[in-house]
Amino acid sequence: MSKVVKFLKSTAGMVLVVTILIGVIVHLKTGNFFTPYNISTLTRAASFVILVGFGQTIVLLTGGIDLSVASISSVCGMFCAIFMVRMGMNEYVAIILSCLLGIVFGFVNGFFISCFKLTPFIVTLATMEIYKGIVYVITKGMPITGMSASAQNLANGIIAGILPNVVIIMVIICIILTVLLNRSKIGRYIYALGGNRNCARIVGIPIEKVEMFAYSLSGFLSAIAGVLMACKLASFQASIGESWQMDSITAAVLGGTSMAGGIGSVVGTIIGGLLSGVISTCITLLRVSSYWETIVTGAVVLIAVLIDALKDNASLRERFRARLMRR
Amino acid sequence: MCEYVIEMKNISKNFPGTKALDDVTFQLQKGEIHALVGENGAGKSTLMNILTGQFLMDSGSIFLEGKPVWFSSPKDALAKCIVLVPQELNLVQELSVAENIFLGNEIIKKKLVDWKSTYEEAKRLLAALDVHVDVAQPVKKLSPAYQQLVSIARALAYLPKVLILDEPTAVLTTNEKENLFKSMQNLKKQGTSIVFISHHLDEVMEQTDRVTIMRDGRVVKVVNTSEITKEEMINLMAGKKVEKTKRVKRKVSDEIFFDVRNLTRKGEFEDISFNIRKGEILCVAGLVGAGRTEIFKCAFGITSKEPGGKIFIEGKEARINSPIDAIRYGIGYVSEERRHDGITPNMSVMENMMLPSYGELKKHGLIDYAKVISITNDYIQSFRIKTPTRDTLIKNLSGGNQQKVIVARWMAKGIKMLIMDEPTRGIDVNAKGEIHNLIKELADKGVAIVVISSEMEEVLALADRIMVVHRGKISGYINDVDTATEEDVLKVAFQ
Repeated sequence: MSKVVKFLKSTAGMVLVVTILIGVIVHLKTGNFFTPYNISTLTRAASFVILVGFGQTIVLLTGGIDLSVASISSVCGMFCAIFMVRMGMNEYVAIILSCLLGIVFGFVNGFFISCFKLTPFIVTLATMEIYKGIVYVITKGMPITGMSASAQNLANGIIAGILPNVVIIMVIICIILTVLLNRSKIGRYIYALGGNRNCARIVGIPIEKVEMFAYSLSGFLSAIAGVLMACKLASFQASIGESWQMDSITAAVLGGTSMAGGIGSVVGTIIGGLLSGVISTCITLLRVSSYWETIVTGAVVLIAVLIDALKDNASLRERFRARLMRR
Repeated sequence: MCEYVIEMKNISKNFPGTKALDDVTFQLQKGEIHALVGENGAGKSTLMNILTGQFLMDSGSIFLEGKPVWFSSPKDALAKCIVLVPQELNLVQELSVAENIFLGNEIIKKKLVDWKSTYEEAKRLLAALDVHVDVAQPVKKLSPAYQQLVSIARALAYLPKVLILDEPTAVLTTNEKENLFKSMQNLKKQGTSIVFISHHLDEVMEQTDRVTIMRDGRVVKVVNTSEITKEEMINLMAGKKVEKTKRVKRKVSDEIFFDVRNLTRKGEFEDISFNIRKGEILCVAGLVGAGRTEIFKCAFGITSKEPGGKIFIEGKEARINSPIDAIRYGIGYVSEERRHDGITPNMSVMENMMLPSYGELKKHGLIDYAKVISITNDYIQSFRIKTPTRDTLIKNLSGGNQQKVIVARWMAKGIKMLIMDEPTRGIDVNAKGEIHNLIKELADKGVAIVVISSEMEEVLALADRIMVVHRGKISGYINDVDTATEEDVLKVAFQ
């Protein structure tokens, strides 16, 4: 029981309540929210950002940041299309191979960050540009079309009219990651590293290895999202996942992951990603101009972090209260 | 005519779960040095945080020179010249000494910072504390002791009416303490009132005029310092008789565990050779900044050593290039700055204790939590760690209990040698005794123990052997600790 209360009091819990509330309100107004079609489209669309968000969450947990996630998605989606269309590879081999390539791209980030003690922000900013550039150099900005039907089915398929394959993949990955983060040595090391780097060093945590692992994993998860997106669209376009680096951070932060590291969970990221998805769906359902979407999302993020700050910081809360009392 | 500069009346303050202050009244006379003593958690810091506007009180009132005042932020208090020097260093490491001193209180001429006067004033303020350093260099280049003095100088820059010093002497050496005390007496003559918070009761006895003793959020006694003894103070603070750690002569084996030869790090220490036997408590004494911490950081692999230095463990040469290596050889390290590198605040007591041991406690590739939990419970019990549950976040524990968790961390790992840097700094009298007992228990089990300490009482009570370090060199040993006194240790340091 107390666990439920504790969860509801956490950022992720509050965001979940808000998400459901928005859904209920919009459903009452339009009657179109809780329909199998809407729910399956919404969750499928959100799953891609959530997958990238998982990687982002893990990196944020170590106290770093990964700006290159979207570019890795794009570059791996491109390789998947090339393997399949231009090289005629078996679609499943192509998918697995291009996802594994994501590990390589992520590892490059981790290598520079941990071995040369460079700032994650700068390193991933640079690799973001490089990976994006690779896509344009190879494709010259042209789409690659003609991916096989079975690849399309994998990404577009829906079980029982409400459960998209992509969502199932996302949930399975979430379960694996949760076990990894909570029950394995390396998972706890990730939290310890973000919680206090100096302490982690003294208790003998191999900081470099943990960091490289986190960035490689982030690359892998981004690649999965990019490859699935390419399959879903049945073609590769250079614009795949353009906005994912910021969307993934949004999902992680709304899910209660601390930008300072050491606090957060991948389950929270699902909730955060869903809220973003719900906001964009509701704006469509309510027939509000979609130009408002980013304004609303931004405002929600701002409110969420404000509540978080007031919750964790007693003196800030007191000053806030004092100011209100004086009025 | 008003007798008191500050009068805090019937102050109460609740934190979730605890009553931090319960109807506390505190009066500060003009031009007095007033000690505020009590164990950790007695409410001293909370009281002073309310006075300086960091916290809001739930009920009560504050009078400044007889007039009621209301502080909702530190800024309000600073505007009335009430200044707090916190216990934890609070400086911007990258900025210069002078900038730090005038941070938030800049000397402005024509809307721009007047650098010339800033530097001159900074120099003058530091000179009053007998500190003569280049005020243009970044603060991070100064030792912790000098940084503490810089924070005091920063407070003086506000020309305080009321100056609150929270544990100002914890990191200071004897000389620097003397200078600080001199400045305090000078300020007193100029009419400044000083609140002096300290665990060092000798300093309280020598330096202060009156003393307020707190326990569990209440004031137990206010008295002229000359009318009370140290023992009475301790008993009032603890609420029961506290026994000082008694010295016990211990038998130590002849087997050498850890043998260091010719360890050097330029600018820190030079040509250091020593050894530690199994089950021995080696106390390392010396002034702050003598290089004690640096020697053992290097021995533990946190910093690299220069070629030529060698470490032998149980007779074999050991390659220690990182803490990971040191831990593999069975060495544990408890650092002097608990918050900086001792604990991971947002992790549970259990995780903080078991982090380094996860590698050995695995089942099917995952952590075997059943075992982890049982080991944690064992240590919570045997080390008498006061925590609501093993899943409580460690940041919610008192300093003493945090320290016990850190010691338990290494015992759970099964180490053979433990390096402890200032193991009881900032820890209250009762918990201190418990940690001392713990150290002795561990040594009795055959663990080689290094205690780096600036507290002579602690050194003399614990040590089987004392190693004295002075200016980066070992200046000598005291083998017969039973008959040694503080003077003997100082003599060795300065010979």
